[in-house]
Formats: sequence, structure tokens, C-alpha cells
Amino acid sequence: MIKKKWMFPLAFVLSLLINSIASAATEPMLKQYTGWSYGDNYGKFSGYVPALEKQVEANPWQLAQWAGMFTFADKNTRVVPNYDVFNVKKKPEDDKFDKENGFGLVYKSTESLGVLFDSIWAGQTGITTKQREHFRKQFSESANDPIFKKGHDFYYTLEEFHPFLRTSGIVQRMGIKFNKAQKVNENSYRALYDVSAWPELKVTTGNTLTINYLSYGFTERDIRIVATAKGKFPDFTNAVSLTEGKLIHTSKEKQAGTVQVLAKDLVKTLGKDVDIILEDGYGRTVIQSITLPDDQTLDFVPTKLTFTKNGQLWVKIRYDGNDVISSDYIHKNGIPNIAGIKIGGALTNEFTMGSRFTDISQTLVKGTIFNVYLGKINVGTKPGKYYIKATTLINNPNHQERALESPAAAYTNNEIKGEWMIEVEEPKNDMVALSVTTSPDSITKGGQTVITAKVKNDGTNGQNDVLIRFFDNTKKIYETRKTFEAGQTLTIGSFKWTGSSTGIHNITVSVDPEKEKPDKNRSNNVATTGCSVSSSASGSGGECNNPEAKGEWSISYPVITGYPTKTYEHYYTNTEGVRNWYTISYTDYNDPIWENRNVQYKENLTISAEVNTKQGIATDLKRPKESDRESRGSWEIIPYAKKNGKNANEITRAGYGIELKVKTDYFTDWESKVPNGLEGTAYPIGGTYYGPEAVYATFYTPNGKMERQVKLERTSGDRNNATWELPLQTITSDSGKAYQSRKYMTSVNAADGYYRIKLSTGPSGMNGLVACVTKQVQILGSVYDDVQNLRRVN
Amino acid sequence: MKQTRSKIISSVLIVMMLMGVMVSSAVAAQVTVSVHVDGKPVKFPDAKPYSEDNRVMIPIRFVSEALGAKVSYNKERVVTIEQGTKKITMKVNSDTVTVDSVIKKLDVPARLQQNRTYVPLRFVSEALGAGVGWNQQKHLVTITTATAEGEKPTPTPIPGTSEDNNMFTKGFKWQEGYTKLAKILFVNNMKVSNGKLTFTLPKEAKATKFTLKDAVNLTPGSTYSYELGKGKGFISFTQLYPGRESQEGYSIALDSSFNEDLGKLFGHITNDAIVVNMSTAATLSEVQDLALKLN
Repeated sequence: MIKKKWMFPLAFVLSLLINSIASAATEPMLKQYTGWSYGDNYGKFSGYVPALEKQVEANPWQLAQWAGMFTFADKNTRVVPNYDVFNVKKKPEDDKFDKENGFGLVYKSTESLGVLFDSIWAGQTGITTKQREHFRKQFSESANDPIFKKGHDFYYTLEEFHPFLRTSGIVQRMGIKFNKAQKVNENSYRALYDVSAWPELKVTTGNTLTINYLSYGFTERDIRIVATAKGKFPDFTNAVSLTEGKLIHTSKEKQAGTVQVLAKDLVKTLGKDVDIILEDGYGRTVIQSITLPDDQTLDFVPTKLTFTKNGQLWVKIRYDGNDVISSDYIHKNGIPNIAGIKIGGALTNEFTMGSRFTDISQTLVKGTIFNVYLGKINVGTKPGKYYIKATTLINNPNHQERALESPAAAYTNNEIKGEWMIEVEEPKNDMVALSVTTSPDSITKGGQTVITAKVKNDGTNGQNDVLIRFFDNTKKIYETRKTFEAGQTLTIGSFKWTGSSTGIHNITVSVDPEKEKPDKNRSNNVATTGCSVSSSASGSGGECNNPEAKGEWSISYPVITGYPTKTYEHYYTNTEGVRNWYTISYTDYNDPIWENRNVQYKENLTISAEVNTKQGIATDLKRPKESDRESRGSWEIIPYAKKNGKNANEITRAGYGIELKVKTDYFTDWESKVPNGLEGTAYPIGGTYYGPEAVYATFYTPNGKMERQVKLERTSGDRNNATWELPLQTITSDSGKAYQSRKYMTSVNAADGYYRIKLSTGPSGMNGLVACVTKQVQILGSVYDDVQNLRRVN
Repeated sequence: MKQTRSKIISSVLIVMMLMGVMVSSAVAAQVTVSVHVDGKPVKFPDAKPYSEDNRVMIPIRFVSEALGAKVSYNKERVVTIEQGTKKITMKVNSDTVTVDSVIKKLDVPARLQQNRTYVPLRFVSEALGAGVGWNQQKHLVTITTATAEGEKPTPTPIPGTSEDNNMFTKGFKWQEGYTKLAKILFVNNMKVSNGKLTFTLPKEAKATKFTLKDAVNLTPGSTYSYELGKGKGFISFTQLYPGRESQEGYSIALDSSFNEDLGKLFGHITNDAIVVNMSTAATLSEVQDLALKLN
């Protein structure tokens, strides 16, 4: 296995060598500059001939081909087959050219030296193209070294116009030494060279860089060790010498040494990533890229996050690290800080704000505390609790212009969080409409009542010029302005109001209807009462036939129908110091929407009556009974009624009594339809309406004269559905016996005809309804007829 | 040029504006200082030198320019001062300065104030190699350059550009004791006419005509005529001196710019040939005149 591994590269190298020898065997390296070929010989060679140890001026010469054998430190040999050699006659008149004295020359031009370089170093591995080019350039430019001019041992002219350099001399500038000339046979010679090893470098990083190096060569030389920013080679413009600006001068074949340098000095000048470069004095370089230890600590640490009463967010930053020039590490725009804000509670919002902190002293000193303003959060004036969470990232590690922190872990402690609850309190003041009253609360149309309200400032601050407005239903009837002390209750009014229309009037007092004052609760700013305005009709007098009376009215109820959606604005300050405004909608439950709702109510009253003379009770002389006393005229009246198709109980004798039974029925739907609003609105106006309090019976004699009016008594039923009768009175009979009776006694002198009885209610219900009905009783004879007749019977 | 300068100034201004707040506290304790370079007062049009904490701070630009140095800024806020081959780079606000690739530390960092970079006075002496004196009473800085003390800077030759590097020297020389060929070649023989060099090769001599493509040996006793001009090559003449160590020889260029160095000396001419001997060169006409004077 091992053999196979070696076999391939060896075969490859050999094939390359053979190929190059074959192709260039007849082409001298100098051919393209002179046109000469191997074997050519001419007359003017000028320069130092080593074998002769003297300068010759114009000696004949011959061009010969040798092989240049360059043996490297690893014992590999590279063959240059067209190694150009000049054989120079010791004396011009000599017959032959002295092959033994031949030595190599290379045309003196950068191009030609480049070709020579390539022929030797073509196979060099382990270096970059840039390193190779640098080495090649360094060597090939030796052609322009002004030291090489007439008189210099390595300088030659052939035929005056072709300059040359001695190969063995110039290759020293590549760290190569001529060893010897070797005669292989009569026609074959070699020039043997030793190539010194490529330099070596080992850099140990730490606070102090330790650079161990090895450099090889055969001549005096100056070794250079420098540092550049990474990748700058071969640009040494801003290179930093690691040997205090001095070169390491040596003539040793193997120069070993150690250089130490403080890493932090290099970091300041070149940054962290640098190349350590050794150039061995020949142009051969060895480069080691290193990252310098970042022993400089720079750390910004947030220590406290504060949210002030006026909504400003501040963070305290402590600088932990070495004392440094701030502008070396902090961007000119300042330290970028951001804060992620979440607001919950009375409003919900999420945003990011930030700032750039620039107020930084020239020198950053360890332990310095910066108080950094991050921005302002204005939650507005909407009452409520706001929960604010802030996650602050100082020197935002993700920002392109962040300040440098070091080591990298220093960026991981840049976060600080905070939570606060702030409360925007409700307004202290609460204006309350305690009551509104009308006195009296029931008037007749055109009458007046006095309206008075009580309003309280239920707060800790006084309120000036509070508008108080009164309404009759929706119509404004009065307004005034009052000043309240804190906690003070004032009586507003009184003022007189005339009821100009019948019906229930909803009298409302509204405090601060124009919302001019702060008020934490506007749902208690309205108070109402009802005032009944009735017609002026009374229930007495006059004939009527109106057994059913009806009435209706409408009323306006203030109702809370909803709550307003209000907008609320708050802002935060962004990184540029610009305020960003947010508009949030919310429902203000303390400022309800009042509307008036009209409701129609109705009522009706009916009256019916019966008269009873009791003359329909038949008497029997054979079996007299107690009740016969009330129907003494029945003996004649019953037959009479029967004969005339009349009701005997509606006929009587003058002087006998009449019983009445009057029924009244009253109905109203009052406040059965109070609108159903929010917060218990509408408030019922209150009050109950009933049927008549009184029913009157007015008696008219047969000749039309009003004889008497009697107020009936309610003998059964309730205030709405009642039965009314004549008052109970004691009557003494002729026999001196007393009876309890509900009768109206007709005049004994009344002529035959009809007693008319007008039955009328008193004002009832809301509208003062009056219902009336007229009844009549026929007078047929008088009580005397029954006495005589009775006597006759007896 | 103006644009570049204004860009530089504006970028410096921007830097200064940013720095302005930071340095304001330092300005308070300043004492004005005068500066003389080689006995002449240095004018500071805006920013003045000052003394602070027993250190004299000077605006580097004016002093450096007074010392004959070029000062420039770049985008990385690096100030570069070049004085001859000496090169100094310094970062603003850094206490580290690189002088000819060597890191040096300032005891006080370079500062930016009033749009100018200030360095401690000691920097001038250390970095620019000038002598510095300080008169505490007069608050006077005296800077003395080496030039003023009588030394003259030695110009450093730049390889490849100097005439010294030409392989030929103008001014023809004979090889002492070897002039026989000259007399028969240059006198009453070789001539240039109609852009051609005509000569008869002396029987005692050898000659080869070279171009970059080939070489042709000439026959002694024969007469040759060659055109002068680009690409025409040259002819090399030799004559043996039996028993002697050397021989006489001349190379005559038919192309006056046969190679770069020759061209530099003679340009492109076609009415004369160029004769070279021992790396000295002259026109054929001159050589022929010289040959007439040979014994």
C-alpha cells in the first residue's frame, strides 16, 4: 500500500522532468533575448571569469548547455535542463574554449529572472499564489538592482549590448547556494546548487504573542517579522513591525529566534484578526493567521429600569470594562437601546420604542453609570388601571451600530425587564341630581306648581358654574348655573311652572347637560318626577248622559339607551424622538346616552245605576210582613206597572223613598309600559290613578226643580270597581219605630210625574274623567192614598 | 482636488462636531502656547496649541506641515503623516501610534478639538525626529529640525529609475593599448550616408552581425553596407593581439535603441551609428573624430 502511494507522484515528477528536458534541450534560456543557440561562439565577452579569477574585457566565448541541479532541503532535486553556460577563452588566441571554466549566466532582465525563478520553484508547494508572486517579484526585480553594473563580479556584457548576471551569484537572492560544477562526461556538465529550506513560523497566542521562527539561507540577510490586518499581504503599507522596526540581520544558515509582543497593542492598531508574516530576506514568506485574544473587557450592563410618574422610561447602565476611549468603541450615533412595551388593562397595545444614548464622556471608565432615557409612554386620560411590561435591551446586540462589547458573552446580559401598574383615576367630582319635586304634584290645566330640585356635588373639589337645566318632558323650561362647594347639596329653584296641557308631565332636572365639568358618573345626573295636569271639570251639577268616559296621554321617559364609543389617544417616543400616536376606542360607561321615549297611556271610566222604590214587592193582607212597610203602594202600583208595561220598582208614591245602586268601573294602563332601558331606566314616574272618590246623586222634582244633591257612599268594591249607595240614615215610622235605610225620601207633595236622578262621578284617573248617567222614578199618587185605602181595607 | 480636499475637511468636521460635546470640558483649563519651527513662528489659523496638565498639546497638521510633512486623514479616522520615507499613522483618540511600522505609545491620547487633531508635544520629537524645547515662562515651544542644524537629507536612489543604472556610459573610451583596429575601421573606412553604414572589414579583423534572430560572421576584406534603424541589430568587431591577454573589439549598433538603455542615451537616430566599447558609448561620428586623434 505504501509503495503504491509513493509510486504515482514519483512517476509524475519524472515524466515532467523528462518532458521539460526534451522540449527545451535545444533552446537556451537566453534565446528569446539574444537569438543565440547552444554552440554559438563569438568574440566579445566582458566580465569576471571565476576560473580565471579576473575580469576579461573582450574575450571570445561559447554558449554551452549544462543541467542545473537544484537540491532542496528535503533532498529532492529539481533539474533546470537549459542551464546556460559560457565557456570563455583564457586568451583570445587560444584554439579551444575551455569547457572546464564554463559558468552559468542569466540574461539581466526581470522577465528573464522570472523565467529562471519559475524553472526552479515551479514545484514548490505549501504556499499561496500571492506568496509565490511576492517571492518571484522580489527576486526578478533584482535585475534592476543598480549594484549590477560594469565592474561588479556578477555583471557581464556580451557583445557589449547583452547584459547578463552570473547565475550562481543571482540565485543567492533566492536562498540558493552554488555547490560545484560536475562533469558527467566529456560533453555533459552539471551545475549543482543547494536550496535552503523555506522559513518556518509558529505563533502562540495569549496576552503576549510568542512567535518562534526558523529562517534559512546562505548569505547575509535581513529577516523581517511583521503583522498586518488579515489578508492584506503582500500590502505592507500599514504593517506593524514585531521587532521594533529593526530587521533581524543574520548570516547563519539556520537562524532561530523568538519574538514576543503584547497582543493588545496589535489589537488597537490592526484589529483582532491579523496575519503574522515572516519574510526571510529573500522574499520567501510564511504567514500565520491568528485571532488575537480579546483580553479587553467592554461590557454594558443594565442595572435598573424606572418608569416615572409622568410616563418616562429610564434605564441605568453601568459600564464594566477596561478604561477606553469611548469613540473607539461607541458609534458616533450613540448606543442603541430598545424597549418592547406591552400594555394591558384599560387598553391593550404592544409596541417597541427606543433611543440612542450619546451623552458619553470621552473616556469610558469602569463603573460609570449612565442614566438613559428610553422614551415616554402616555396612556392618556381614560380612567383605569394600566399594566405596563417593558423588556429593555440596552446596546441592542442586533443593531448594526451597537457599541463594541467584549468578550462576545458580554452581549448576553443586556436585557432588563420591568412591570408597573399605573392608574388613571376617575375624576373626583360627581354631580348628582338628588330629586326634583313639584308642589303640588297635581294641578288643573292652567294652574301652577312650584318646582324644586336638589343637586349634590359628591366630590372633594368645588365646582363652579354648574349648569342645571329643567325639562317638561323634552322641552326646556328653566335653567340656572350654580357653584358648589365640595360635598355641598344645593336646592335649585324654586320656580313656578304652569301646566298648560293636561296629562302627566315628566319634570326632569339635568345636571351639567352640556358635559362641561368632570364627572365620574353621569348616569346619576338626571332626576324626574311627574306632575299631573287635569282638566278643570268637576263632577257636580248639570245633567248628563255620559256613562263611559275615556282619556289618553303620552309621556316622555328619559332612557339610557347605550354608551358612547370614545377615542383615546396615547403615544410613545421612538428612537428618533418622534412621538408615535395610537388611537384606541373604548366605551365610556360613565357617560351614558340618554334618549327620550314617548309612551301613550289610556284610561276609561264607566258608570251604571239602578233605582229601586221597593213598590214591586207585593203585599198580602192575610200575611202581613215587615217588608210590607216599604211597599205600601204596591197594591196599586204593581197592577199599574203591569198594565203599562213598567217596572214597579221604578214607580213610587210621593213621600216614599228611593234606593240607588250605582256601579263605577275605572281602568288605566298607567306605567304598564315604562320603557326598558339600561341601568334600570326609565325610572317610573310613579303615582297611581283610581276611579272616582265620590259619586253624586242629584234629584230633580217632577216639575224640574233640583231638589237636592246627595253624595253617595261606597258600599262595596274598591277604588276602581265600586258600588255606591245613598248614605245610611235612620227613619222613624208613624208608629214611632226607627229604621235604618239608604233611601232618598221624595217630597210628599210631589205631583205625579217623574223624579229625575242624575248620577255623576267625581273626577277620576289622570284626566279627571267624569262619567254620569240619569235615572228617573215615576210618582204615582202620594202616601195618603195608601192610608185611606188601607183604612178602607181595614 | 478641491473636491477631495473639501470632502476630507467635511468628514473631519463631522467627526469634530460629534466629538465637540465630549471635549468641551477639557478646553476650559487650556493655556495658549506659541510654537516656533527653526526660529520661525508657526501660524495656527484656527486651533491653537495649549498646555494642559503639564503637557503641551499641539495641532499636528500645522506643525507637521511646518516640518515638511504631509498630513492626511482617511475614512477610518486614521491620520497619516508622511515625512520623506518616514510614515506615521495614528487613530484619533487612540494612544497608539505607528511610526514606520513600529507601535509607539503616547502618554496622552491624540485628541480632536476645534476640528484639529492634537498630539502631545513629545510626539513631535519622538515621531518626527525633531528637537523640541519648552520655555515654561513664555509658553513657547521651539522645534528644531535636523536640516536646520546643517545636515542635508541624502536622496535615496530608487532602483530602476536612476541614470546610474544604465548599462552604458556616455563618453567613449579606448581600451588602452588596443587601438589598431580603431584606426583602420573608423578612419577613412566606416561611413554613414543615406541611412546606411558602409565599411570594409579589415583583413586582420573579425566581425559578426547580430540581430535578435540570428548572427552572421562577416568576411575580412569585404565591404558591407547595412541600413540603420529599428530592428537592424548590431555588428561586433574584434581584432586579435597575438600573445596578449585581451583583444580589441567594438560593437556598433545599427539600431540606436537596440536595447532600452541605449535608447535612453541616444534616442532613435538613423543618421549615425552608435559605437560601444567597455560599456562606454558614443556616436560613430564622435568616435571617428576621436580616432583621428589616435597616434
